[in-house]
Amino acid sequence: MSNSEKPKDRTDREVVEISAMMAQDQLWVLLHERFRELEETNGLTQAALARKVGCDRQSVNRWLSGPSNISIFSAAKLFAGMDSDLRVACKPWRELGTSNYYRCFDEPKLAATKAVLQFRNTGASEMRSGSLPIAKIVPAIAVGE
Amino acid sequence: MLTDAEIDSLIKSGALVRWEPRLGGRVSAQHRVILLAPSVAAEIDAPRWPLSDEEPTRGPKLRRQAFHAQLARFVEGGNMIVTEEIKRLTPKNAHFEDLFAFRSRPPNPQVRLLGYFARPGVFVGTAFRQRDELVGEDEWTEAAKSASEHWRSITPKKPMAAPNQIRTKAELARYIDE
Repeated sequence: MSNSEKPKDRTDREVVEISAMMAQDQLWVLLHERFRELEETNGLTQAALARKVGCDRQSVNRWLSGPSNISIFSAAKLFAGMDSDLRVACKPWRELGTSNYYRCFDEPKLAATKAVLQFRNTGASEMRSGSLPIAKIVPAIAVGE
Repeated sequence: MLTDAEIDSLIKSGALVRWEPRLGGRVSAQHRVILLAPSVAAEIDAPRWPLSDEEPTRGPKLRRQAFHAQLARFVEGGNMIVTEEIKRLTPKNAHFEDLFAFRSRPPNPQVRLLGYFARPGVFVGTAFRQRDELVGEDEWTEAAKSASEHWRSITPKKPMAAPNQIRTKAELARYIDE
C-alpha cells in the first residue's frame, strides 16, 4: 500500500466500484428480462437478435449470461433490437438517503413491502425503485396501436 | 419459520450476522434481508477472494464485486432471476431438504451461497462454496450437510419452506417476494 493510499481511500474506492458493479448487474437483469419476455411471447432467439443488431451470437450470449462490461452503445442496440429504448438517468447519492430499515420483520413494514413488491411484479420491465435507478427500458409504441 | 424476536436474538447472540451492501451506509431501501453464519460472512466479506487456477489476477476481485452487487440487488428488493440466480436444490437426500442456493453469474468460477428462507424474503446463508469445488455428488452432499447442520445448530425450528408449493419459476418468484 502506498503512503497516499489510506484505508479510508480503499473503502471509498470499494464503494465506488461496487456501485459501478451494481449498475452492470442491473443492466444485465433488464437485458435478461426483456430477452426472456420476447423469447416467451415472440419466440426471439439469440441468433435472431444478433442478426438484428449486427453482431455475433457469441457476444449476445455473453451479454445475456451475466453482468459484463457491455458498452452503453451495445446495450442500447440490444434494447432497440428488442423493440425497446434504453434510457439512462443519474441520481446523486444524497437523494437516495440512508435506510433505517433495521427491522423489516414487523408486520406494518412487511405489509408495505408486500404491497411494493406486488406493484413491482406487475410493473413489467421498469427498473426497481429500490435499486440504484440508472436506467429503465421503455417498450417502443408501434405506430397505429 | 423464525419470528422477529428469534431472528433478533440470533443476531444479538452472534449466531447470525446481517449482511448489508457495502455502500458506505448508503442504502436506498432494504426490502429483503440476508443473514449469514459468521464464518460465511467472513468468507463473503473477505477483502480478497482466493485466486483460482487459470484465472486472471483481477478475477477474484471482479467475482467478489459481482456477487456483492447481486446480493445487494436481492436486499434492495430488485428482481431476481429465479432458478438461474436463486434455486431450490433438488432434494437428493435429507441434507438437501428445504435448501436453496444463491448462484453467482459469470465471471467464473462462480460461487454458491447455500441456505434457507427463515421467512419469505429473509434468507439465511449457512454455507459458501466456489462452484468448481462442487465437482460431484459427494462434494454437493458435504456442502448441503454443512449448511443443514449449521441451521440445526442455531435453531431447532424448521426453515420457512413449502417445498410442495414451489414447483415452477413463478412459484419460487412469489415465494421470495411474499
